Amino acid sequence: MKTGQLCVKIAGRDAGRECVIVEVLDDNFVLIDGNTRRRKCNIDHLEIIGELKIKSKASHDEVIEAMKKQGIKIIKKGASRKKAEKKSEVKKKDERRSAK
Amino acid sequence: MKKRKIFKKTTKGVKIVYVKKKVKLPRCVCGAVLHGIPSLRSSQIRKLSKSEKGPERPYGGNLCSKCMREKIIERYRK
Repeated sequence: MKTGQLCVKIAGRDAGRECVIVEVLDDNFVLIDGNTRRRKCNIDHLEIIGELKIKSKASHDEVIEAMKKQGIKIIKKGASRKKAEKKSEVKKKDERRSAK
Repeated sequence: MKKRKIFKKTTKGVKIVYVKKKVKLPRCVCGAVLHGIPSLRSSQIRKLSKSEKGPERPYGGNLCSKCMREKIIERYRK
């Protein structure tokens, strides 16, 4: 495992999301960032799919810029929650109309 | 809610006992039993919170973790 390797997370709630190795912490653990949360991760829970050019301990913004250059779709934080909130607002409006 | 009637013999005679239907264990496509999902009737599951209904990972509640991994890896290897 090296810094800058592009991976997919294959375990946990971030499974299926792309991330980049930012720092190698241990023989078994690395620090990842990208579409996932910035967090420590077991190397068994990662699948390598490519490589990016970033310096070690790069910030979140630097990682995302590098991923954009590679053509990877960036998932915004809390996007799913905003969608759900919009849906609930529409439901409430419909209920109000039906009540009238 | 549908209940199953059972006639039970007692010392006083035959007694009717109502038993709720059992729910099958939730299983993956591969046949493995899915953990983290309560095997309750739908009316009981409705009362649970979102996190109690199943694992929060993608395909949680439909596939086991092994099958999910294979599916994700397949997607990126193509």
